[in-house]
Parts: sequence; structure tokens; C-alpha cells
Amino acid sequence: MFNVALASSGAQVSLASSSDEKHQPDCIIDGSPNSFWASTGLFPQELVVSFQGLMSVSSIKIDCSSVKHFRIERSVSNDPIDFEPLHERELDNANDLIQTEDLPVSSGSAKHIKFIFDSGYDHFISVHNIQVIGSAVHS
Amino acid sequence: MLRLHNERKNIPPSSSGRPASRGAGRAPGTATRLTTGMAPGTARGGGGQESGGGVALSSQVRVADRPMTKQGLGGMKTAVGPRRNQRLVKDRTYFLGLLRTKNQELSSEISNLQREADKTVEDQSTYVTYEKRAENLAAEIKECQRELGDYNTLVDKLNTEESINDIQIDYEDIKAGNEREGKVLDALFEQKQKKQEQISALELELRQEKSMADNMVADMPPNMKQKYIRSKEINEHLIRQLELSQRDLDQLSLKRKELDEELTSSPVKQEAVRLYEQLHDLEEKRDQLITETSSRLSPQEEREKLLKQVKEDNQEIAAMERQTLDLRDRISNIQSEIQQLDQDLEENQGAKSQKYRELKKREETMNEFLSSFEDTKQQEFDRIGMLEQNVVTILNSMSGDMQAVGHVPSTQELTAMREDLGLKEDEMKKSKTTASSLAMESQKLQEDLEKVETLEHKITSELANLKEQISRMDDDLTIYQDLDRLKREAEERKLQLGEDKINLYKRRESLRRALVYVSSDYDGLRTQLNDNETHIQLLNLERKWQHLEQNNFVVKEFIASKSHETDIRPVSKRVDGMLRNYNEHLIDVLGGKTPGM
Repeated sequence: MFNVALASSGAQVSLASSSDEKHQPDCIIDGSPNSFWASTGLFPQELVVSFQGLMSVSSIKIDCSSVKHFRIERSVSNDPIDFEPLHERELDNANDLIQTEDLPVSSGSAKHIKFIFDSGYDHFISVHNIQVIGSAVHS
Repeated sequence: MLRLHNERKNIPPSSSGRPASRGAGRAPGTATRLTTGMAPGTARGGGGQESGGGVALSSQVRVADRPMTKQGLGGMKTAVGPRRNQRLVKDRTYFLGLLRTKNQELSSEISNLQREADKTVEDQSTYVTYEKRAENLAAEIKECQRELGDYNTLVDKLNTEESINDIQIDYEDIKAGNEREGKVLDALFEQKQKKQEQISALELELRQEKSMADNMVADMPPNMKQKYIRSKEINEHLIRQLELSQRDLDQLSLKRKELDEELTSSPVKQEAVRLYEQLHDLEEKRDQLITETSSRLSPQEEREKLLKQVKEDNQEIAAMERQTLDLRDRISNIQSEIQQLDQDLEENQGAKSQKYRELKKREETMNEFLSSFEDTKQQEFDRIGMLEQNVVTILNSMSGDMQAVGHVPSTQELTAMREDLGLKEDEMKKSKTTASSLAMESQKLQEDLEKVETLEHKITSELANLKEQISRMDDDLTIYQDLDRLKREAEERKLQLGEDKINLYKRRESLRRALVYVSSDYDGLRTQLNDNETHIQLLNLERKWQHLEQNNFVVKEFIASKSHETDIRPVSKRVDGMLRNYNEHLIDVLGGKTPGM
């Protein structure tokens, strides 16, 4: 069991609804808590993290700020389509501090994981890190 | 040509038939001209000559009857003209035709008149209806005018920007007033009814009383009855007399009024009235005088009476004089007494009071002296001290002077010293001027120094800046000297950017794919929506709304433009300004002229 959502382990951000030059979407899978992805305004915002292959996921951990409500969906197909809901969470206002959320995943495997941020406590939100703990499924 | 020739041939005989005056009036040379042109002759010739010939045949033309005109023969034509259309033979048929035409004219005239009559009858019949209609319309107009008045007042209210609330309040007030007045009216009506009832009751009572009186008369004993009847008759007679007198009085007062009016209208009569009044007065006076004269006594008696009166008066006067004398004596006595008393008083008081006053003065001065003694003493002591000091200083100076007497210079030395003094004073003045100029120069130099200092400050700061710049440039130089590293960095950057590019391409691809799904979803939803009837309705309504809004906007714009067009305020303001200017100008011009005039 290790973090599979790392650029070094082949994961990549295949879709992001915002992309700032200084805070690119790749920052969420570089393993560093100092770099982050920032939205460029408006809601909802989406991020899709794609893995090299099918992964069996046991938990997802997300470090973010100013997020109010977000959903997590997963897909097992090769293309990032046919997502099915996995989690939904409403966060408390942490007053510009980092909100850390650990979500256990009971059922499953995933090729793509989508994060949908429906609303925030500020005009902009940031995601510092996403850790997907799991292992590759060998078929 | 031939005809002309004929005419020419004809002319000589006719001209020979002309009175001699014509031949004489014409110059002999014209005869030659006749052969060539003769314009008047030809002009007349066309019809005149031929028909003229016809006439000449039927009627005798008398040369003497021809009117003489300038053109001579031209007069013939007028005499001939009217007769040309006349019928020669006036037989039965001719008169029948004439009668027929006259008949026709008459019948047409009759029909015309008939038509006119019909028309007037019709008009009259319609006139009544029109009148009725006009009345109706007039009533309608009145109604409309009343309504218009209401609207006008409303508009006025709007123009004066009275709020609707005020109007409503007014309305309520008026309504309440109307109700109140209605109530009052009702009350009055009730009162009137009550009064009428009262009146009827009273009439009833009166009738009863009358019947009672009749009964009483009927029940009376016969002599009383007779008496009553007599009295009644007398009463009636008197009443009649009263009426007659009243009428007479009325007539007389009327007459008097008339006469008064007449009087006021003519000044002569007024004068007469005045004179009458005067006469009346004078007559009265005369009567009085007559009575007086009749009551007068004989001269002897009168004289006695007067003498008696004089005596009495004299006695009275003497008594009064005596009384006044007495009073004067008494007054003089009292005055002398008063003088005596005054003298006594002065004698008694004179000596003593003088002494007393002197003593008092002395006491006052002593008191003053005693009270101010300490102060004066102190002052005197101070003065003494000062004088002593003065004396000491004077003595000192005197002793100094005594010693200096030996060193006093001679007169020559004094003059030399004086000259010296003058020179030195000059020098001193010069040195003073130099000192002042030097001070000024020093001030100037001081200012220069300050300037220089600020300049120096600036220069140092600039120098520091430049040094900083140099160091920065040096740093930059070290950076830019290391070309390899720069290249490396550039390479790294390039690589990084390439990676980014690849990443972004990938992301674009995935986004495109996602977009396809999402757009298909969207399309599905859209078709669903379009199928939805409510949505269609909403769309239609929205479109309608939009249309209405647009209309609204256009109308608003139109209204605004119209209101702007019809806004006379700027124009009126401009006109006012121009009028004012013109008035001022007029006033200026007139004001400038009047002194000159």
C-alpha cells in the first residue's frame, strides 16, 4: 500500500478546469505540500487524476483550503468517462488554513478519480496534495 | 386685286357724297395715299361695305343723320348693328313662337319656385328635429365641459405637483362637507314640514275659535247681540277707512317721492325751496318782533326801569370795590409781617453760623493733615535721602573736575583735536559702510555655501546610486559571463516547457473527450428541454416579453424626444434673456439721450 497518486509513480492530471501558470494542476501530485493548484474563479471546478493502470484504492486523502463542498467520483474505463460517485463531503470553514480530509474507500478499484468542487468559502480554492493510497491491480 | 380696285373705284363717289368738312380736313396729299393703302377703308370694307350696301337698299340713309365721328363713316356701323338680326316680317307664327318661349320661361320659373317652397317646407320640418337635437347636444356639451373642467383641475393639480394623497384628502373633505350640508338640508326640510303642520294646526284652531265666536254670538241675549253687531259694523267701517287712508298715504308718499326727484333734478327748484325756507324763517322772526313790540312799555316807564337797574348795579359795584380794598389791606399787612419775621431770623442767625462754619473748616483741614501725616513724612524722608545722594555725587564730580583743571588743553590743541575728531568720524563712517557691505557679502557667501552643500549632498547620493548600480552590474556580469550555465538553464527551461506542452496536449485531448461527452449530455438535455411544452411556452412568452420591452423602450424614447421637442423652457429662457437685453439696451439708449435732449 502506497501513494499511487504521484507523478513519479506515473499518475497524471488528465483534466483540470483551471490552470494557472504558477499553480499548475501537476502540483497536486508532486508530493510537496508547498506547491498547490489554485482555481481561477467560479464553481464548480473539476480535477481528474488518471493512473497508469487499474488501481485498488483503500483511502483518499486530500489537502485543500477554502473548500466547502466536494465530491469524488471514479471510473474504471480507459478513457476518463463513465464516472460513478464515490464520496461526497461538506467541509467546515477553516479560515484560510489547510483542510485535511481522509476518506476511506471500501469498494474498490479505479483508473481515474475525479474531484468536483461544488462550492467554496472564498472566490478561489486551492488543492495542495492528493494522496490515493492503494496498489496496482495485476490482471 | 379686282375687288380692291372696285372699292377704290367706289370710294370716290362716296367720298364725293361726304360733307365738305371731311374733304377739307384731309390734306390733299392723302388722296394719293388712298390709292396705295387706305387702311381704314379696307378694314371697314370687309363686312361693312357689303351689308352696308344691303341696308342702304332697304332703308333710306340720310346723310344728315349720320353721327360725325373722327373716322367719319364709322358711325354708320353702330346705327346698323342692332337692326341686322331683326325679322323683317312679324307674322302670326312669329308671335306664337314668342309666346311659347315666354310660356316656357314662366313654367320653368314656377317649377323653380315650387322647388324652393318644397325645400323650405322640408327645412322647416327638419328644423324642429334639429332644434331638439341641438338641445340634446347642448346638454351633452355642458356635460362634457363639466367633465373637462374636472380634468383640467386634475391636470392643474398634477402640474403643481400635488400628490394624489392631497387630492384624496380634498375629495374626502368635500365629500364630508356635502354630507354635512345634506344633513342640514334634511333638517331644514323637516323643520319646514313641522312648520307647515303647525300652520295647519293653527288654522284649524282659528277655525274652531271662529266657530266658537259664532256660537257665542248666537247664544248672546238680543240686546248684547245687537250691540255686538253694531260694534262689528263699526269695526268693519273703521277697517275700510284705515285701508282708504293707507292708500291715500301711499299715494301721497309716492307723489312726494316723485316731487323730491323732480326737485333734485332741477337746481332752480332747489333754489326756490331754499328761498322758501328763508322766507319762512324771516316770517317767524317778523312775528317774534311784532309780539315784542306789542309787549313793549311806554318810554317813561322804560326809563324808570332802566334807571332803577343802573342804581342797583352801581350799588353792587361799590360794595365789591370796598371788599377788594379790604382784601388788599390785609395782604399788605401780612406781607409786612413776613418781612419783619425774615429780618429777625437773619439777625439772630448771621453771626453764629459764620463762626460755626469757620470752625468746621478748620477741623476738616486738621483731620486731613492728621490722616495724611505719615505718608507725607515718609515722602519727605525719601526726598531728603535722594537730595543727599545728589549732593554726594555732585561733590565727587566737582572734586574730579578740580583735579582735571590742571590737564585741560589749550585752545589750539582743542582745535587740532576737533579736526582729529572730524577725520576720525569720517573714517568711522567709512568703516561702518565697509562693515555693512562685508556683512552682506558674507550673507551671500553663506547662501552660496548652502547651495553648494545641497549640491554635494545630491552628488553623494547619486554617487551611492551609481555605486549600487555598478555592483549590480558586476553581479549581472558574473551571471552573464557564465555562458554555460545560462545555456544549461535555457535548455532546462526549454525541456520543462516541452514537458508542459506535452502535458497540456494530453490534457487538451482528455478535455476534448470529456467535452464530447458533456456536450452530448447537453444536447440530450436540450432536446428534452425543447420537447418540454412549458419551456416552449416560456420561450414564447420570453420572446413576447422582449418584444414588449422593445416596444416599451421605443415608446419611451419617443415620449422623451417629444417631451424634449415640446419643452419650451430653453426657448422661453432665451427669449426672456433677449427681451431683457433689448430692454437694457433701450434703457441705455434712452438714458444716454435724455441728458442730451
